[in-house]
Amino acid sequence: MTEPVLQLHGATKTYRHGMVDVAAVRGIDLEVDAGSLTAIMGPSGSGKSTLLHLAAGMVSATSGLVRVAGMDLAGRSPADLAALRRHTVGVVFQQYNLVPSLTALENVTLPLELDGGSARDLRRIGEEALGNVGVDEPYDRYPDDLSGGQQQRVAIARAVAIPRKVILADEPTGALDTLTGDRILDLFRKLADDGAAVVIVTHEPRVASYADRVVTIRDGLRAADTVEPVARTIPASRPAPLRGLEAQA
Amino acid sequence: MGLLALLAEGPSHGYQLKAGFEERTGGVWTLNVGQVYTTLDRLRADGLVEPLEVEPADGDGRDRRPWRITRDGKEALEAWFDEPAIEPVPAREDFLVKVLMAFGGSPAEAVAVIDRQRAELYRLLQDARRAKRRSSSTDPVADLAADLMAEIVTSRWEADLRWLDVCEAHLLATPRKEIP
Repeated sequence: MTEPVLQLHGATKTYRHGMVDVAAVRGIDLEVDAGSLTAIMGPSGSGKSTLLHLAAGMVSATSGLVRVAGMDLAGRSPADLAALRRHTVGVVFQQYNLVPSLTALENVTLPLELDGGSARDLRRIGEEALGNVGVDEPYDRYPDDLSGGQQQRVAIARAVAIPRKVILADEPTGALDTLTGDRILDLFRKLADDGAAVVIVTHEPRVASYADRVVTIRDGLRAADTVEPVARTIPASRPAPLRGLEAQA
Repeated sequence: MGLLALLAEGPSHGYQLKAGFEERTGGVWTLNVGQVYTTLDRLRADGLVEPLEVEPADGDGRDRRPWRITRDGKEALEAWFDEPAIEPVPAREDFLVKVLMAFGGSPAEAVAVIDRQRAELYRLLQDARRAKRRSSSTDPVADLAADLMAEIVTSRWEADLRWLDVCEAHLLATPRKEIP
């Protein structure tokens, strides 16, 4: 039994508002395996986005354990956490966080440039990622020249341009029409089928249909685990070697 | 009226109409040939369809008599397409009644009722999505019909889930009113 790629145990995040501490997340346990897609559902303010920020190392837990790909995030330096997000964890946030002075393509390849690589390789990887999420050419347009949906897709392309063990997404289809959203969700599904641990925070019921598991967060706590993983049927598109592995499991 | 719409595309006999209806509606509703002929007889009585010349029996005992739409039938069909077909009041489903009645109990019990409905809806949505990933035939017409029928079913489950979210928000936000 391999260790879950993402583990939160008793994870708590408290924010100070004036004189009072407000707990956004109150002791959540969550484990996410490689090759799975988990949907985190819950109303606004339930703590589900905070949960994602914890998993991405964007905020540190007030108490409890957050472990990503074998790395305990407590007390890590900002540089360590940035490296984690560059290599291991792809993040897509509600606000797209694109760099306005860079083109769509440059936004996607920026994190990869920091690790070197030829300009031609970067361009190829970036264009492939943008094509996968349905961003139309030309890829040298700036974020301001793109619609909200296009910006969202650039942000998704950036998160999935290179294989990452963990993909975290906060309302990734919020700005997209249904068919485009389906296309993006198909992509997240494929990333999970190819071995990534994918977590999508959303209030859109449609996202749940793509998930292996739905976890409901209510008032900073995990509600009764709504839908446990069910026996997975193997998608016909799955490569043959993986089918063999699943048969043994 | 579905059969009338098929006949507007060209004359057909009963078995073709049965197969055509099932294909175009994604195989969700099955018709037996008896129902098809009962309907054709009714449409004929209303002057909307008429039988063509009887073909010689082909030995398997099946009725191969083709039917065609009349001028009145075409007008009735146009009027049918022109009329929106929306039910202003939702059907009285056990699901709705159950959740609404749960408001009479404690909020915790009501939320538990909501969560159970939710879990089942999630499960249904996931099953439908998996079935969709598996299915694809070589017939684009049947595939599209099946996709669109699956979409209306899952869209309604998604709407149910959104409604449950609203129910839960009200349950947890509003002070309890006394139920007389």
